[in-house]
Amino acid sequence: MPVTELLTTHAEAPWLPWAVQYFLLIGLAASAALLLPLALNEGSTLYPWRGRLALILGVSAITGPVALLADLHQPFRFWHFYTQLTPSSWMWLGALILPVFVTLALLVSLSLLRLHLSPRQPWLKGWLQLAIWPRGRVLRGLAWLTALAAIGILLYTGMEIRVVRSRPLWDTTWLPVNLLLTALLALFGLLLLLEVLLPRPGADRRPAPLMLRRAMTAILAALTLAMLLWALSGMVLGSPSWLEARRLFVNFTFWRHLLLLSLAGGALLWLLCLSRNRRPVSAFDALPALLALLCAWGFRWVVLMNVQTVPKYGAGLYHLSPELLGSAGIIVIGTFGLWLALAGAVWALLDHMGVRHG
Amino acid sequence: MDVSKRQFLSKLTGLTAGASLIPVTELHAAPVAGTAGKRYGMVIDLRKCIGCQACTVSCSMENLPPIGQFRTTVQQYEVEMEATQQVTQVMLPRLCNHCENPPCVPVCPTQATYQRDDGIVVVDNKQCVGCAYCVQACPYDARFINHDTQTADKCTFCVHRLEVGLLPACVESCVGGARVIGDMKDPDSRISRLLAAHAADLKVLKPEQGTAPQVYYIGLGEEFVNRIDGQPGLWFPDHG
Repeated sequence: MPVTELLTTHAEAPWLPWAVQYFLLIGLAASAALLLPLALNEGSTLYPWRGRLALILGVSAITGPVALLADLHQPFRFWHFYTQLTPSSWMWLGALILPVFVTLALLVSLSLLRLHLSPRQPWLKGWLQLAIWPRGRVLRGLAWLTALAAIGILLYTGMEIRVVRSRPLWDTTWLPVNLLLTALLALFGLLLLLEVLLPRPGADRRPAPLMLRRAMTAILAALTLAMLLWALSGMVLGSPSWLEARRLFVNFTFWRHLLLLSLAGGALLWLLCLSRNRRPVSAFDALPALLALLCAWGFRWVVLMNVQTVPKYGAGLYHLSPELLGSAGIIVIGTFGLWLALAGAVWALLDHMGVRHG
Repeated sequence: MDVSKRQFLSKLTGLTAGASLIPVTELHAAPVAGTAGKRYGMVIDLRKCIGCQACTVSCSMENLPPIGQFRTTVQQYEVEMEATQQVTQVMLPRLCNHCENPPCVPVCPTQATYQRDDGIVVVDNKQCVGCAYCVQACPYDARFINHDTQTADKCTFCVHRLEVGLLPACVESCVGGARVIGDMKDPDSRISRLLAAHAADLKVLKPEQGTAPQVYYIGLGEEFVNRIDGQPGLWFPDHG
């Protein structure tokens, strides 16, 4: 029986582009925290990047929560999270995990970076040289604790979306997995970008940076597999997420274009990673590095913003309001600007022996 | 220090410790338990709805949501009967379903959204942080972030009117008498009698979500239960 909507209402997207920024930045911080304890071992292939991982961890652990706070429509009421116990809400659990993670992340990040910081101000110098800073085994222990808290962050951010049954596209266990894999992709993209823009003089430019590209290819392989398994398991089990995605791809040109764009992005990244597999790192590597970051960001934009344009009941699609899209540019530039400003401030204080050059 | 000063200070300490708990105790005291022993629900007889939007207007006059935002609306559809090729119109009043198992409540990280003893789901907008998690969790798009208060907003069954013995604005203004609200625990209430009389023809929206909605429709076509599969009424750049 053909039905035509004559009069209906438009539901605007209540989660704003701040959420996209938060999910990307906290994903970067959490994945850096996961790798950092491994990178602290001298034998680890990640060892040369321990300083840069610490930098990414610290800066992202500050900028991420700033974006999260801005996503609340009443940001100054954030303390209301802590006036009662609500274990039924993943967001409430996240509100407990996040301060723990941020504190540990900043402590570990600063403890590692302080050795390489050479400020001119005596008070800052004295503060950084205090005996209370954790080192050695204690620092390693704290790095493992941060990794544990990062697992909590990855779990809560993934589950927070995954449990929302009213949005079938989110109703899949593959969502937290894909959020983790794209976060790792962004992290290695960023490490590779830093390698291109700010090479570490003295470091062997052949074998070590190649590891970054190989890691990116491995993550891309895992991501491709996860996407295929999402589609395959969805087809076999008839999962809500797959059925809804198929309905959108079949019925809406916009979603078909999104699918094609995602596939093209993935294929191009594969091509860029594979084509230069054995060559030394050069300026060209900025392309796969930036594309990896863009893919991770784009995945979050689609999952968080475009999914909100799918009506829960009505026909057709809602659209993201021009105001929202207009603010998105400022939000994205603002959060990345804050990230760059903080990273730049730390970078400016780094000495000639440490993270910056070695 | 003399005894009275010491006593004063010790009392002051107690007072300070007590004051630090004020937000917590206030929170537990703030929610109104609701009318015990009742369970409010609504029956909407679609055969009587003419789509005049009197409910939409009266709700907006009563509850003053910002312009362009609504706690209730009547959505209108054109349906072509395949057998007869006849075209007819369907009116579908929409509002919060005050579900028995409301998905918006457990996700709320600050307990600002809660269900009263009488089943009405409300929002304490002084406690709400505007995270919009409940807006996402509601399968009926019944919630929105109020542009004025920047907190979650929704239909409350006009609880402030119910508590003083008045009907909700939408029920009061319905020209066809399509909306009936009442206590479903009272077997003699009009709603209970309607529910019993039309038991075979009652439908709720999206029953597969497991939310047990407490807004029941009489005369709702099967094609309107889950999702509108048809020609959209909203403009989207993609439609061309």
